[in-house]
Amino acid sequence: MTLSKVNTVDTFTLQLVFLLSTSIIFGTPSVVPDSWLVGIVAFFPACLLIVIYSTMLALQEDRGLYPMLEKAWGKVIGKGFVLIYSTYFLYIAARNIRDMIELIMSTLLRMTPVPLLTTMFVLLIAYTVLGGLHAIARFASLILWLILFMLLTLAILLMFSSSIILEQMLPFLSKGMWPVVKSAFSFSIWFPYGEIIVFLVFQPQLGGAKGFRKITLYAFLSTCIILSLTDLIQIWTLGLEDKKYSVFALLDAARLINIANIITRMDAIIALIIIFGTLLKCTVFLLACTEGVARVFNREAKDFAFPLAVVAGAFSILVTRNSAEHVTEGLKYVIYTLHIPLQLLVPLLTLLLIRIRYRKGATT
Amino acid sequence: MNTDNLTTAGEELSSLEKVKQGLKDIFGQTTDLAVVSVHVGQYEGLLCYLTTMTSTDFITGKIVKELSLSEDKEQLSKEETFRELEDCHFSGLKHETLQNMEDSSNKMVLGYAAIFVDGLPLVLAVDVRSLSSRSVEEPTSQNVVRGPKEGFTESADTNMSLIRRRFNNVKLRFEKFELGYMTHTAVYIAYLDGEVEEHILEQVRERLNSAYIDSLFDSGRIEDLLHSKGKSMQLFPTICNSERPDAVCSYMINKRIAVIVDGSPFVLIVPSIFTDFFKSPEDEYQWFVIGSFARYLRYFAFILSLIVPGLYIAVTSYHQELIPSILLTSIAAQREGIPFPAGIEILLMEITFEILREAGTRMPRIVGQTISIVGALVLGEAAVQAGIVSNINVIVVSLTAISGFVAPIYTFGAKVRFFRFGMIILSSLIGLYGLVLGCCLLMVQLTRIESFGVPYLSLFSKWDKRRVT
Repeated sequence: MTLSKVNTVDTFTLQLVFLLSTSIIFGTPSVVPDSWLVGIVAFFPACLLIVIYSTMLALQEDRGLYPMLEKAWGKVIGKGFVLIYSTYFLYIAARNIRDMIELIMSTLLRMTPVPLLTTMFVLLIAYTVLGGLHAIARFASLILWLILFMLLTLAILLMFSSSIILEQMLPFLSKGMWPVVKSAFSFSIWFPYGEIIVFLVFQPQLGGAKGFRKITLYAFLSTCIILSLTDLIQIWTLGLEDKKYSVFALLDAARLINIANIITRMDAIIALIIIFGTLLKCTVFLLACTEGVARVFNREAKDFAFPLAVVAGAFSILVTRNSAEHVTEGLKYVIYTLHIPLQLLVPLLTLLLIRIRYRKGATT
Repeated sequence: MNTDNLTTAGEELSSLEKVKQGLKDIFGQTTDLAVVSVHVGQYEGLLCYLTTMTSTDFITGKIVKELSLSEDKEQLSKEETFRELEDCHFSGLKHETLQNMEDSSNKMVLGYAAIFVDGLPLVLAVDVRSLSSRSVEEPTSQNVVRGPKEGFTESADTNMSLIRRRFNNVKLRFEKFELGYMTHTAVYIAYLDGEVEEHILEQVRERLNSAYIDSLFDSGRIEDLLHSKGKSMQLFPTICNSERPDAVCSYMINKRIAVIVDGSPFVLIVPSIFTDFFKSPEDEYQWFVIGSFARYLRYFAFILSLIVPGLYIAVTSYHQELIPSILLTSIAAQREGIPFPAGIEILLMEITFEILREAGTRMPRIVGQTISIVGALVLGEAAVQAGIVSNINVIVVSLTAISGFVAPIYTFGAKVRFFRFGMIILSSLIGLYGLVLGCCLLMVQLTRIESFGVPYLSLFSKWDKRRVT
């Protein structure tokens, strides 16, 4: 069976929405004053990831992450790595679901039982996964318009309710460049940029090494610009200090919208649009996960969509006891124990192994 | 006309008596069978046709006249007479030479007259089909203010000619298929050769050929057959229909295939995508800004008709903080004496509206007045005054109802109504979250569907040639 390729623009929107969806609201760490700079600083090292990933792809004819792991590490260890990656993707999907549910619980529905919300969402994810990558990419292009429209409206409405005060971004770099750089390296590279590794799985259906390099670069660039702008809007409206201690800064900013006492409480609407983004992101992760599991156990990927979605939903509830624990886990442990090894170290080692095991010309 | 007293039995075409017997065996006692003894040249012959498939004028004017003319010719052999008939007398009509009874009778059913010559094993079948059908009128379900007023009729021949006269182009092709093992209904596909994608054409042909149904009276029936197999869970129609020749032609220019079913004034268009259901041919006949405005208005109305009732329920019963305070107080004041929760209230009125709509379409024209008077009472002031529903509820239901009819293709609007009930239930269960999940489900479904390998809704990807469903 030859798989047809998703076209370039759809791939780009898919990656862009993937990168934006959750990071637009949970993204930048609030611990640094000039958080909008973090995104820009993180962009350059993130490009190194593109170099690593696309070299990996180029070395083995764009066959995707899982075959690549098996080729570099051998059948048994390779399969182990495939499983590790699948679990990793499933875990991130679960975390994203949890993020979204926390948001819904704090803004819209305070009394509704969490399992009900999660179950419905998870079933929807599984249904989307069954549609395949083409359908997901087309879905992404719809979401992209929603997100961009939402951001633009937000900016315009904030401007009209005269909440944007440019002086709020001062003092600029009061503590020097170091905290910004540190935050960029310890956080922003891995989330959202590093998560692009999941797209290596789908390369047979996407553009391959050359396309990947170009499309991902544009996607990173757009993400960087959009994220920095939203960060700036948040800082201009909330001020440095409020932004620092706010859990969902974008929502707090949207809460300030008030036009003639009629257009108020826009934050709920924004929270709703986040659902769309989260759905897409979880779908991509779950799709990658099902493909990995299907590869190891030699079954059709579609058989795993519903069971794994339910597992992700259960994970999202069981993974932490409360919201504070969830955030800390995300900021500290996940980055050092999961993101850095799996996004940087393993790919680097795989690259080295392939280089050593299959010298120039000896392609198999 | 001697359609009776056929007595002797015998073999197929060897003598006229045997022909008569053969016809009797096949057609039985049917009253519309005409078997007329005629002279073909210098020989005895039989003219057989079904009176219901032709008109007396046609038979006397064309066939009988030509046959009598052939008598005056000089002496010829039987074969020569036959050739003479074929080449000179009936050369202006569509005709075929057949060699057995079975073929002849099958042709007669289609409206051919069979001419037998005594002792000659050949049958000349001449097309004498002339059926009365509705004349070309203005379409009833798709109206335009500006633009051609012609609409398709029940006759496939007329419909094809309506298409052909708009394309004075050698590339226009019609292909014939026969569907229904009981009715043998003629189904035609029309396309512009070289414009349509070959693999889509192949799929359409294959699905029409492999269709196994007993009867076919309207194109609505083959919509299901043309759908991809095993994809019955599609919530949106993937085949568009039109009553307007100009609309069908403008689709055909855009690489579509038209499927014409004899007996149905609705011509199907495959493949159809989401945006097709929002296009009216009128959009192209006026200033493009007005046309586009109308089209975007239709999209907007589509979204309104889906989410407005759900939004009302969710906002009034779960998220009151989203409503501006003044509006909230006025809504609360209106709802003060209403016994039902918002969900039930909306559902009640929506169902009432559906009943009214259904009654309105099925009811005889003469009693139509009654519906509008009673309907206005039920869905209006009286319902509010009786304390069953609130004013705002009536506004919400009417707005949704009107928006639901904005889509130019009726079948599309019919499906949207179902989603609306889904949305109402979801949002009365878990508020806005349910509404958004419902919208997600619809968007996922919209992007998942493919119509003959063409993505149903896709903002960027053009038609992807490599894809085959």
